[in-house]
Amino acid sequence: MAGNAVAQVNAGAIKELHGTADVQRNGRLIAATPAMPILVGDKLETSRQSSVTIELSDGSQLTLSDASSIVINRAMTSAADSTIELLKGKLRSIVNIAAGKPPGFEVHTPNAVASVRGTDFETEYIEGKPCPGFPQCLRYTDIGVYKGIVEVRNPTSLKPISVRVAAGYETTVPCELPPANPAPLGIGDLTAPGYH
Amino acid sequence: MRSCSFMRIAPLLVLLLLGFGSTALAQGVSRFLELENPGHLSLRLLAVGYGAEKYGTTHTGLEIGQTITPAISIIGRAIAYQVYQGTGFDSPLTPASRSSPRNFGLLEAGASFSPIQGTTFTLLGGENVGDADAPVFENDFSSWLWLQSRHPINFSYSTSHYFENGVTNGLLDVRMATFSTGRLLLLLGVGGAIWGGGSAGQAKGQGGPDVGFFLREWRVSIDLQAGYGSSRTYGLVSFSRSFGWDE
Repeated sequence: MAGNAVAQVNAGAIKELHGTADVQRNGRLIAATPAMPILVGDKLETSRQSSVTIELSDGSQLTLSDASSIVINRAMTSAADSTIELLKGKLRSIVNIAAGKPPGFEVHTPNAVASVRGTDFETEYIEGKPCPGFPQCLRYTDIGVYKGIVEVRNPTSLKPISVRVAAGYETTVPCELPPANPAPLGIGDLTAPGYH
Repeated sequence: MRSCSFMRIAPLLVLLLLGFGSTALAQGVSRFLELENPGHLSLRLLAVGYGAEKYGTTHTGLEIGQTITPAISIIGRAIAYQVYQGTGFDSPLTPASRSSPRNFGLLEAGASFSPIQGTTFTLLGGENVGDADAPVFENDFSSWLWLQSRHPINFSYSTSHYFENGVTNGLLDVRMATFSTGRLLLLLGVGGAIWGGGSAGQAKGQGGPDVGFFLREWRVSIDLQAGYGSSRTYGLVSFSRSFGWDE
């Protein structure tokens, strides 16, 4: 019942849709369409080789990559006061922060919380693959920052350590461990075969 | 010449792999056995220009890679080379009348192995076509150290052996990720080349500092190197763009 009441709050609308995506609302599954309103409590899920961009009420944008899923848990007066739960896959967040107002925008994954101190960052939650640098851990979160600073912590870790990630860097949160030291953003692209 | 170079490099390779410890080794074994799902197809376009006081070369081409397991990929390369030789410097763009440009292609195929993240070892074989028809064997190695830090360091080498003239060619690079923004990554380091054997005779070499830019949005790499060596002053510019698709 509480979920139904919350679900009446408008969060934004679908701005772009490539491929197919579904919206789960009040237990019903609805095919996503361009300009479709998105409400607080909606669960969005993209198919393979699909992506969807949501424009929130204040102009902020969330781009969900293929085979990814989010729930908008809270959207208060603006996107800068929102909580997004990333259940799987990759989410790019470009947050429109009002001047002089401390942001309260957070992206949660099962093992990480990324709190915005900037405007443009990407969160990816991966399950079933060994975490780079932590081979015995099979679920991890990557957070890369394009603009501003994002503070990252692992609420499931016994060590209450948070890491501030500046623009141009990324961190990895493995299983129940604290976030790793930031490394240059996209360094993985340079580790592929053929590059040297 | 080739076996001698390999004997020098092999202990370094073994030390690097052992340095990652037994846990990483266990991860490496599973990376070899499990099929990659989804698979990944990659395409890299490249263009390189080299100019020295004695000669110049340009080459352009492409490389296609397909993952089989997380640790194994098959690789194919097709590259077109132009070599400009002559008396004194000949610009690759406007070669002098006394120059003798040679045009040939290189077709190679092989496999790339990545026992741990950030380290790849590639073996390729192929043949030149056109003004040269030498069978070629090539191996490339690249390893990133301290990946979970602000300044990871890359060590790489590439050796090629041309069976027609017996020449072995080796390229070495050490670079550090120096500066990173949301748009680009700056790498600084030193690099060079060693070649010799067969018709090239005694070992020769050259080296100098290099600067690399990686533009994330377009997945474009631009590398510049200048230095001095057996061909006297030289300069090298390379450009590559990568594409990738999950299947």
